[in-house]
Amino acid sequence: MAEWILTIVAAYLLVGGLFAIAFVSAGVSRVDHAAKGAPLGFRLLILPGAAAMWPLMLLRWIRSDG
Amino acid sequence: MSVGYKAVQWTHSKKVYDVVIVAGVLLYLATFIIVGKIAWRGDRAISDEILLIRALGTCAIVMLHIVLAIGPLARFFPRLSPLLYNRRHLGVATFLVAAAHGTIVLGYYHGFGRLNPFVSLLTHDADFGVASSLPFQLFGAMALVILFIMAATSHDFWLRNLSARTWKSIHMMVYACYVLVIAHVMFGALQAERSSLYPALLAAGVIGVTALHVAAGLRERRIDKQPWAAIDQDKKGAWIDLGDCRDIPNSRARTVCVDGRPRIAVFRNGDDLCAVQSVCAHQGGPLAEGKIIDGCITCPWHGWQYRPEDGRSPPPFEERISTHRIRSRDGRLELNALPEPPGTAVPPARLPEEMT
Amino acid sequence: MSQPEEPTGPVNNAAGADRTVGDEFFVGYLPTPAGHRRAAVIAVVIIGVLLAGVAGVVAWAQRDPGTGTWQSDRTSSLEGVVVIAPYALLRTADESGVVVTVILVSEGKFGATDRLRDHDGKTVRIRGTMLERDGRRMLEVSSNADAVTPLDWPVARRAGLLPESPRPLGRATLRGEFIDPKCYIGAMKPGGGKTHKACAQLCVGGGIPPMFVTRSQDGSEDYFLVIEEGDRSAAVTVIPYLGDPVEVGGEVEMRGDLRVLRIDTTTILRI
Repeated sequence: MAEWILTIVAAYLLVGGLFAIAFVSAGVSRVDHAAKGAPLGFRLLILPGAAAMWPLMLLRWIRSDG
Repeated sequence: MSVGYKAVQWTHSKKVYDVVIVAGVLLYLATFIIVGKIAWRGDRAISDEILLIRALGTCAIVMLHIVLAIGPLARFFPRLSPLLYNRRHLGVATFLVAAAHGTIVLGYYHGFGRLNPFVSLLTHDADFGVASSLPFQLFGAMALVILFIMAATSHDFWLRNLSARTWKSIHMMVYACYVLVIAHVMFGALQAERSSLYPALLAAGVIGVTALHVAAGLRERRIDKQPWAAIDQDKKGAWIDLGDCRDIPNSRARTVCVDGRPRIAVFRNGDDLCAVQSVCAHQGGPLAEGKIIDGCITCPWHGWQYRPEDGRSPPPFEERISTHRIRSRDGRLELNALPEPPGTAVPPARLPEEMT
Repeated sequence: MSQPEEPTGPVNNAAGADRTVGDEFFVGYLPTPAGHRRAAVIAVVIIGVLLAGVAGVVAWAQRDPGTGTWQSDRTSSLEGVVVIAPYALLRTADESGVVVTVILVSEGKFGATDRLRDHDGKTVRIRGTMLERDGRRMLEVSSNADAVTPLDWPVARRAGLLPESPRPLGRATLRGEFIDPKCYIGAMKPGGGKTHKACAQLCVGGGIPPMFVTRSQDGSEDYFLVIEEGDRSAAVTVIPYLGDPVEVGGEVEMRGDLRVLRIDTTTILRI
C-alpha cells in the first residue's frame, strides 16, 4: 500500500520534473507573454511549482496555442 | 506586453526584510544549540542531530506563528505594514527551515533500517484509535507538503496563472498547515517531553494567533455592517447617500459596504471624490486603506497603483479595477453600488462648497 | 503584473503635500517613512528578544537524554560465548573475572542474531564498538568480514561462560516503556519516547532485541530483555507499543546478570 502510494507520488514528481524543465524553458512564455525573455532566476524560481502543478500548467500550455 | 517577470523584484525594503529573516533564524538556532549544549553536557549530552532537529522544528513553528500574526497586527497597527510587505519571503523561509527539520528526521529516524525511509514514514506502526499512538510524523509531513506548495507557488507568476481564486485557496491552506503542526507537536514532542513549559508555550501561541484573528475578523465585520442603505433605485443600480464627506482626509478613502457586495473605496482627491472597488487586483488588498500617491490610488499591501478616474494602472502596467459612479444631487453626494466594468472612466464628483 | 518596480505615474516629488509626516504611508518601493521605520525597528527588536527567549527556554527545558555512551570512534574486542536465546548475546568476563552479558547488534538498525546463529554456544572473539548505559553493555558488531573469529578454548575456560539455568524471580506487573536498546543505551540521545517511536520500530523490526525499561521515583532505571513464552522473540508483539507508556505483566527471571521479562502477551496496556 505504502509502496504503491510512493510509486505514484514518485512517478507524478518525475513527470513533473521533466515537464517543469520543458515548461520553464519554452512553455512559460506561451502561457504568459510577460514571461518572454524572463531571466534564468525567474525560471528556476517557478521550477518547483511547475513540477508540482504540472497537470494544470500542461493544460494551459496546450490551450495557449495560436 | 508590459513589464516582464523577474526572480525577485528587489527593493531596499525587501533586502532589509530578508537580512532580518536570516539574522532571526540564525539567532534562534544559535541560541537553541548553545543553551541545549549547556543544559545537558558530558555524559548527558543530547545527540547533535537531535539538537538540530529540535532547533529547526521549533524555529519553524515560531516562524509560522509570526507569519500568522503579521496579517492581523498590520490591520490594527498600520505602521507595522512594512512587516507585511514581504511576508511571502518569511513564508518561504519557514518552509526551508521546516524542510531541513523534516529531511534530518527522515534520514536519522527513518534511515539506516530495513525499509526505504519514505516507506517507514508512511507505515511505521501506529494506532489511530489511541492518542498516545497517533502517527504524529504524518501530520508533520502533511504540513510540510502544504508549506512546499505555498512556497513553490508564491511568485506573482502563479498568482496570475493559477487565477487569483485558486491562488488564494492554496494560500488559505496555511490554516490547515497550522492545525497539522499543532497536532504534530501535541501527539509528538509533547508526549515525549516532561516539562510543563512546552504545553504552556504552545497554548500561548495558539491562543495568541486565534485571538488576533478573531479580533481582526470582528473588526472587519463591524466595517461590513455599517448602515449604508440605498435611498434610490434606478436602472443603473442602487444609489447610496454618502453623507458628509468632509471628514475624509485628502488622498485617503472611506470604506462603503452594501449588503454583501465587495467593499467600495471612496477616495478624496483634493476637492474631488471618486470611487473604486476596494479590492486590489494583485492579492485583494484593501484599497480603501491605501492612499493617493503621485496621483494614483496606491494599495497598502504591495503598492500597486490605479488611476482614480478610471481604475486603470498607469502604463506600462495593465491592471484594471471596477469604478463606481458618484453624483451630486440637492447638495448631497450619492454613490452607485453597482460597479462599472473594470477600467471604466467615470467623472469625479466635486465636494459641495459648504462641505469643502 | 509585477507592478511595483519604481514609482509610476505623474511624479510628485518626495516632499509633496501627500507625504506629510502626520499622514505617513508605507510603500515598499519608496523610502520608508520615519514612523513606519521606527515601528518596524521596535517590532523587530521585540521579535528578536522573543526569538532568543523562546529558543533559550525551549532548549533549557529538554528532557534528560540519559547517560548512555557510544564509543563509536574506538574498536573494542570481546571474547566469550555466544548465546542465541532468542537474541544474540555474548557472555564474557570483565577485568575481575565476573561474567557480564553483552547484547550484540549489527551496524545500522539491525540485529546480529542471523549473523551469529552458527556460533550459538561457541567461543568467539568479536570486534565492534561499545555502547553502555547504567552498567548495561552492548556491542555493535563491525560489518567487516573478520569481525567474528572462532576461538578454540579449553573446555574449562569455556565452561565458566556457558549459560546458567534461569533463576525465576516471580510474576510481576510493570509500568514503563518498550525500547529499542541500541538507541536507548547510547546510539541516540535521547533514544526513547514518542518521538523515537518510528526509529525504535525499525530497530526492533530489524532484529535488535526489544527491552523494557522501568523508572523508579529516584530516577534510576531497570532494564529487562523481553521475550515471549517458549523463549521466542517478542519483537512482533511489542512493535506497536514501542515508545508508548505501558503496563505489562509477565514472569521475571535472572539469566546471569541479565534481567529477562517473559511477557504475557495479553496483558499489554497503554497507560
